[in-house]
Amino acid sequence: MLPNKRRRTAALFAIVLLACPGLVFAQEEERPVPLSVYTLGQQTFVLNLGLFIPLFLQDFDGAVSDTNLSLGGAGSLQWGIHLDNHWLVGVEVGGIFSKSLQENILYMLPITVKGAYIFHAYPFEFPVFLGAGMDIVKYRDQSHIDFILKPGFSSLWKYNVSWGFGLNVVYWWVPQPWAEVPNEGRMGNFLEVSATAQYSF
Amino acid sequence: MKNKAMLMSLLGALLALTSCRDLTLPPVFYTLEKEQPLEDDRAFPDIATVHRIVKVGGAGGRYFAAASKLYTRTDGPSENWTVVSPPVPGAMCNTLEVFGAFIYAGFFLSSSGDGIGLWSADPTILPIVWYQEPDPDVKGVEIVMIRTVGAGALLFVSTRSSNANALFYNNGLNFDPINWGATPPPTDIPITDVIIDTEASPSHWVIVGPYLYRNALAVLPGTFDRYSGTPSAIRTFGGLFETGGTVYVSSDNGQLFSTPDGGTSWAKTPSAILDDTDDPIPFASFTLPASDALAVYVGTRGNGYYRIPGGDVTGSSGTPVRSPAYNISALYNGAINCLLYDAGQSRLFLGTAGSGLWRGDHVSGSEWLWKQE
Repeated sequence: MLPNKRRRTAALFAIVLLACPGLVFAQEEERPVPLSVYTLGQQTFVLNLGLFIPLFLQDFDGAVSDTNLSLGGAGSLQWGIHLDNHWLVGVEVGGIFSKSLQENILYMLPITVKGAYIFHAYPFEFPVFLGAGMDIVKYRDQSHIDFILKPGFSSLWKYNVSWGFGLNVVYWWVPQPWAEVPNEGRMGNFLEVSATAQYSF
Repeated sequence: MKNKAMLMSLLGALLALTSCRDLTLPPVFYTLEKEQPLEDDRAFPDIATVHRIVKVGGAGGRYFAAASKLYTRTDGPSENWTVVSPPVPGAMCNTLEVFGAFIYAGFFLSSSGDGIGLWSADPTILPIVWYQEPDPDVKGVEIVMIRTVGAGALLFVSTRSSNANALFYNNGLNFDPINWGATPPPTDIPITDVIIDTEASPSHWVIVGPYLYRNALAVLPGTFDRYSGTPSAIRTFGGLFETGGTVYVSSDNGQLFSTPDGGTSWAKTPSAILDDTDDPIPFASFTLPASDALAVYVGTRGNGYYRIPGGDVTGSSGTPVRSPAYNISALYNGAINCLLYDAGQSRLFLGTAGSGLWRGDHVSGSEWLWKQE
């Protein structure tokens, strides 16, 4: 049993917490909702850090198999330029690492060109994007460059005009055809879930 | 201008990375898909250097591995390795062999590095009881190599004492030095391998650094003469092997040689096999894993082992293939000191320098499921 005084304090704290959204909205209602957040030529830097989730491998006949990879780490940097309030184009450089069954480390370094459409719901933004480019894959003595497609979306809370924070979910599709031995070709399917910080200027 | 330079640098870096792609290796995702866990701890030290491994007996027999300490286990499916007590406290084992019903091992003192000679034991009596070979040729000296040849009829022992190397043979009674011909080997070069070809053209072959010696007689003593035929080496030949009347010789110059007729004619790799940095592969010991029909395997000092299809070093039956898969890095980039094929278990052991002992359970063809013991 908590002493009465402490219980009262805890109850009061809980009420304040429950009331917070109201307070926040009350404050936000006082802030003007901007008609347009971004204009042509405005730039954005984005930093993503999070998890790399191996999903499955698939051969070109459709058969699915395990990646034999562990949960890994992912990170990326993106520079973009806004075309208007909704459209953004940019480039992204990232990297992941993940451990195999034999405790070797797989590295992938994608370099992609990215296009995004941003839905606004002030103070939130929901960019939906598609990246395409090359993926430098390195695993023990083998390394090669593959094509990569990265569709995904973000949920961002705009802290102020410059800064936004949120969550990033990106699907990685990495086809790895192998002309020398076609039945050794595989398509990699992975997921990136990362925290994101965005700076606009 | 600056942007153009940056773009060119980026393109250059990409080109360099693209050139890393090795078409002789399978792609990454496929390799990952086929990957199997390597962990199968049988209590053998993972970073040990294994000098030699032998098996005593057939099914239900016992393995012995010289890896400074001497280890043993039966060939059962879940047996662990245990350490065999040396004949002298603190003594280390650097080589061993099976001869008749006994194992023979060379020991040295870990404190001084001095050899303490050749010791034998009955492997069926546990704990092992060691007997020192009394012959002064092999007593109190460093034992460099022990080999049984001629279907177990002869035991060869090479020794080093005061930096002088010598080779002796034992026909079951005592040890005798072999007779060198007109050009004996330099005494400061270790004698590292010996075989007898009993089939096509009976003869003995010996490796002494970059020199091959041959005794054209099937029955010793005879005379070992320096052989001046085709095989060549930079600093040392790697190993000798005989199967079905064909003698194989490996070299540190990236080449493999074979003769079907006791040295009258030789086949060899068309050119030196090179590593990633264009240095010749230093080949070492051979084995014939019968599960992988007709292929001869040869270890290397830093590039895993090579599979020679059909045992044909010329490559006309297929190019020698570096093995195992590149993701088993400790083996793919490993120095393979010794190979042992256990026909009864369809099992291939690879003893490495610094990466312990590996067991390959045969799957099919050239495929083995590798586990670190």
